[in-house]
Amino acid sequence: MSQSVTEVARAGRWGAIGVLVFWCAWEAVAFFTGKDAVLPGPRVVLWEFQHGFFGDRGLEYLGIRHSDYPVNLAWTLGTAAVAWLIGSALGIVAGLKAARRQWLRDVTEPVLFVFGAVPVLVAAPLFLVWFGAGPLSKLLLVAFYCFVVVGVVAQSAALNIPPTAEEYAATLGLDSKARFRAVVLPAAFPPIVAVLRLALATGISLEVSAELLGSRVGIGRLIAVRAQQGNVAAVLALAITVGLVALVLDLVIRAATRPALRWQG
Amino acid sequence: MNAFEIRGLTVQYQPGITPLKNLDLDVPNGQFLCVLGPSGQGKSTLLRCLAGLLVPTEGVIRAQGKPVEGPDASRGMVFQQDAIPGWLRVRDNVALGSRSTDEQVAHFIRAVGLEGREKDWPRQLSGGMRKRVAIAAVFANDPDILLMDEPFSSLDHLTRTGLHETVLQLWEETGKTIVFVTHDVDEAITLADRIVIVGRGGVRADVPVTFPRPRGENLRMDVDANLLRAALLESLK
Repeated sequence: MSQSVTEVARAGRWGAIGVLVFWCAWEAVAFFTGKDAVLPGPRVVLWEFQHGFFGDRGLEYLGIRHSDYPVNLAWTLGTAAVAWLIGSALGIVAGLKAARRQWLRDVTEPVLFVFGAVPVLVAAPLFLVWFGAGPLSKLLLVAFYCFVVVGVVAQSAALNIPPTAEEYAATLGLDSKARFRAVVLPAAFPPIVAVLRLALATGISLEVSAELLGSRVGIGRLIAVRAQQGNVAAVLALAITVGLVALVLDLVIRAATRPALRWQG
Repeated sequence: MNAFEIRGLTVQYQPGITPLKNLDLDVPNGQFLCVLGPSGQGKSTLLRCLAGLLVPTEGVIRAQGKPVEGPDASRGMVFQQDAIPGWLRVRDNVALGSRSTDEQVAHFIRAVGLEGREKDWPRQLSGGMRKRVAIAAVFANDPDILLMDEPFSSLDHLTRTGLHETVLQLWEETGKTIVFVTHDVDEAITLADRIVIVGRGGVRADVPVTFPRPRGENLRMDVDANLLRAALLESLK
């Protein structure tokens, strides 16, 4: 316990040093560039964050009903989180099932790899055309991405389990379901947690990108509006806010899954 | 009744690769049988067939009079590789089997010398200790027959000697049938009361070992043991 606290404190200290170095470097580059409109310094971005956090009445004239950060963040992250949950859950089930059934693998692999390789800049407009500019298109896009990525990794994790692990359990009298619970699931869990973290971060970024292309609400929509206004500081403030929230969510996942991964040391 | 009756056992992986061909063998209950043979001569293949992990191309295997149709708790197996789940603590590993009870788990953890390490993760144990966990798990599951596939081949001499003593103690205590695969002649002479040499598809030699126990280092100076060692090495050629 005390060792993990020490490790967290050490990581936190190095993280703080990293942020400080980045802040100073950014401030220096912004100072020497001297153009706030092109590259505002961190203090300008912070000022924009503070003044835009609870909304900008000026944006109401542009038809933005909710310009505050909390509502837009909640919308973006809520949609991304629901899509991540649905897509990842289906991906884990499908990946683990496919690992145990050759025919299912043969059927799904080519389809998943082909559609999984479609660039998001191609897929996102298609989803908008098919399912409209509302939340459904973004939800389906992020869920599909999470399904493919998590499914492929879950399948590969289950396939990489040494055969002796399951054979050993079989000779101890564990039936197929018990072996799945006692061997396959725990053995595949570490890579699945890693891909869940990746899928969440990328899912949020996909959601924001899809909102950039067409949405009535969300951080992506705000970024699009601010970009049209040429307000680089506001765009950076919004982007950094999304990044920080994604970082916090990642820490939450890591903390929640740490007890189940303690065996790895 | 025999622990195993094997009739006409043939395993062909592909044309030209037939490690076992028409092999017949009976293993009486309670016997400590060592299967000896050079690498690639079908020792592990035979053991996998006995465990039900490999379906033979031809032939019949009966365990306690019933045909072997797949792996089950009546035939426990200790593998050459580390097979114990790394995500289970020592106690949970020993309790993994479908037949194990709390009393048996506690007893066999003590018997293999892991008392006090129940809450350790496998990564915190040495290779020899992990083998002890696997042995305790198999015994705690109360199988009729134990199958051991070169379980100590990757361990150093001292650790291996300690594990030989542990396995022999448990065998004498429980009276289980053990089929132990090895390529080490000395290990076979130390452990077995019968040695079968497998090679060229079948049984090349079937030798009773009648030296009094405990054997261990005493046998190195024993003339009869050295004669047996020489005969076994000759048969292995």
